[in-house]
Amino acid sequence: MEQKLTDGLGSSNRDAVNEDRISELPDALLLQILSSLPTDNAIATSVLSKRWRSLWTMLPKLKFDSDFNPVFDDDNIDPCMFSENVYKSLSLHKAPVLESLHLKFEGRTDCLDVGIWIATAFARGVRKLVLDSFYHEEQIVTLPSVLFSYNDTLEILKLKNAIDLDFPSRVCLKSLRKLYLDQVHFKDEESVCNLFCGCPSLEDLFVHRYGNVDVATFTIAVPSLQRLTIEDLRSEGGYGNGSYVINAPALKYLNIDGFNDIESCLIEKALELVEAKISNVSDITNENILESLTSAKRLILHLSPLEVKVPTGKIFHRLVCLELRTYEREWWNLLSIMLDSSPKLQILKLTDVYLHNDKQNPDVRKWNPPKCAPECLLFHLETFVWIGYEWQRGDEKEVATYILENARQLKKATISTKRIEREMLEKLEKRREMLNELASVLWDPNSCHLVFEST
Amino acid sequence: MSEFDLAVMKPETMKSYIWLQTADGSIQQVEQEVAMFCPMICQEVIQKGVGSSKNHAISLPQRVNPAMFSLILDYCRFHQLPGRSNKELKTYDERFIRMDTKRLCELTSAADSLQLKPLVDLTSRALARIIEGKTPEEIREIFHLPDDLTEEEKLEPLKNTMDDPRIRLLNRLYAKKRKELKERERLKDVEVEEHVDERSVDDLLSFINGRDPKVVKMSKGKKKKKKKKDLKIVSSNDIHEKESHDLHSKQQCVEETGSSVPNLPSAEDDNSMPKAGSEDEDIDDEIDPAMREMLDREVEDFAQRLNSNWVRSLGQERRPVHFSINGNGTTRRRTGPSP
Repeated sequence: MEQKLTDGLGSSNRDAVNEDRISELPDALLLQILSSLPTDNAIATSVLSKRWRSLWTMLPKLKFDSDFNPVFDDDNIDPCMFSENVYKSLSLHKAPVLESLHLKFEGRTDCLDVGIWIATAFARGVRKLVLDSFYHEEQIVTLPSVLFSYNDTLEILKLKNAIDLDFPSRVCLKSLRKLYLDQVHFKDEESVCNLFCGCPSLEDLFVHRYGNVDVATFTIAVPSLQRLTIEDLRSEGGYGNGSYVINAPALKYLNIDGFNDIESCLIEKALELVEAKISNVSDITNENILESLTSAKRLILHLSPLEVKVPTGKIFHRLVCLELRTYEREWWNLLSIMLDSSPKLQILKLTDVYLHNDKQNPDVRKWNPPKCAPECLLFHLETFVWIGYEWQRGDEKEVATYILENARQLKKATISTKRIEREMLEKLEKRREMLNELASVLWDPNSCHLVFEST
Repeated sequence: MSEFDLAVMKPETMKSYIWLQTADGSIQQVEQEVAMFCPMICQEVIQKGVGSSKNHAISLPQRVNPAMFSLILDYCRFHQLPGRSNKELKTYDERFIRMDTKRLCELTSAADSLQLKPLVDLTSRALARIIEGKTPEEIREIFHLPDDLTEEEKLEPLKNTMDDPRIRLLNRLYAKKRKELKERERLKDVEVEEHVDERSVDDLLSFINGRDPKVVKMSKGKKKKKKKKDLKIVSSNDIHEKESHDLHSKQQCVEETGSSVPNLPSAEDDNSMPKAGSEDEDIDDEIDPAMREMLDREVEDFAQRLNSNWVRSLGQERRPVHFSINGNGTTRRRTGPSP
């Protein structure tokens, strides 16, 4: 990128000092440059010159990756060497606060090493700790739980992959706000409890787990929790059907994905709920998911009414925005019930982003529209969006017609269909006809802005 | 017309200019919207009201020489125009920073003094890219850095001047572990005691944290001092001898792997150990004798437990040691994802 420097024929020491422009930069700038480098490169600069000797020790963020060097074979990476370097670097680090430490290491690392790294990081007041342990011959690292028995600086903790969590007694992570558990393994339910109960400031919890591999019932009981995401990736060959218990009274955002073939899922009502997204759930023997979401302002339901209990009555009294996925079986029935149950609904969105071609045969069951027009359609619904509208399907056409006909407060409707090639004139014509039909049933064509799009 | 008249009239179609003076004394006028793109200039105009005429030109910081300033103005001129797509900006930036490293450094410096953050970010990233992946010799050559570290300093980049007693403790723990590992390697033929220590790694580290149940009974104020008990584990004589062996083997390792990362050798412990030893004794004097006796016992205990663990981890290099350490001896069936 840059031209090779052409000067420098036998430059004397004095010349070298004059030529050295980079060292004139203030510390903060040099640190900024070092921050853009991978950590091991940054540490290597300490042998450059006196000026650079201890610059790297003020770096706020450190990342060590034992897998980084792609040149060497698996067998040649020496975990001892890596441990050594990590440990030494950590103990030499001098910045007032260690903002973030990211360690990526093999599952076969001695847990005493891991323990010493963590202990050193805690002694340096680390705020964000990321431990990513990758599998090596099926070995995993057990985190020394005693280290978590008291810490008041850690704010973000991310644990990934080949890590085993065993907490025989309650931890104390006073300042922890965000916790990410990505495919880590809990030894027992007690460990789960001891971990969650020991985080009094926990606001964000993100769990990505194989539901049928470690504990039978995964209980999340965190009074301070505001954001919860659970993704269950059921693996083949697991044992038993897991369960979930969620008790988070302060919860504002909930995201559940992948609860399939689960024994039970029980959620305590969250009265402060702002938004909930429930996707890909099926075969849950005992659940109360939708009932627990009645305080929500926004709901995204990518599920079929055949898989969950859909409560009736005007219970979604705060619901303002609803999104349903039209790929689900009998989604239109879910729509009917939700329209009836959500008196204040203002925004309705129907999506099939992937434009599935294999939707259920429309003739199997006919859609039952609500007996009388739901309150929300009469008084509140202002925005209607349909992405992936399949104009050739009777059931979809019925729904679209119904909404446009009955939504008296509708201000904007956007309908987006699949792209048709320019050559397919007949098809284009048919679509245009159908869309015109829709436009004609609008309750109040003057105040409603109808938009057709093609993706 | 005089400049004064121009300034007074300022019809809508005429641009307004800002007067700026570079370090070498030369004064120039720059379109207002271009100059105001630099926060430092913006501040001068707004807070001090200067820059509106030749006599009241804004003095630019010394780090901004005329050549760099003209480059910066080009940058500002391009970037301040609204409606540029991200792609356009990116392409411009990539071409813009193609210059020799010396000018790049000057540019970074100048942009920094004008507080022009986007340009500072751009140039520092470019400098980082130049440094990345190169050996120290290469870097020194590119930037003309003086090679003013002694050979010793290069080998032992930094002395650990950490005041934190916990860090020093961990230093020792780590050093001891390494030492013992090496010793065991050499004595591999010797029969090892079959006795299995039931206690877990957790207990070991509880000493570090001072959370061990026996130790916790002491008053809370002594928490930090508790951690010093480990310092008595080994006599400094032993360490000296073993450390020098360690240094050699470490250096060997480095040569084999050929990595450009400097080896942070164990030798530094040589320097810190004897010093730290005496300091700690001073501090230990504050603990009353009864407690000290108890601490001594704990230390003996601790050393023994450390030994057992390392023995096991050595003998079973590739087996999942971690399961058995927890004492229940069961291996877990892993049905998780493959690596």
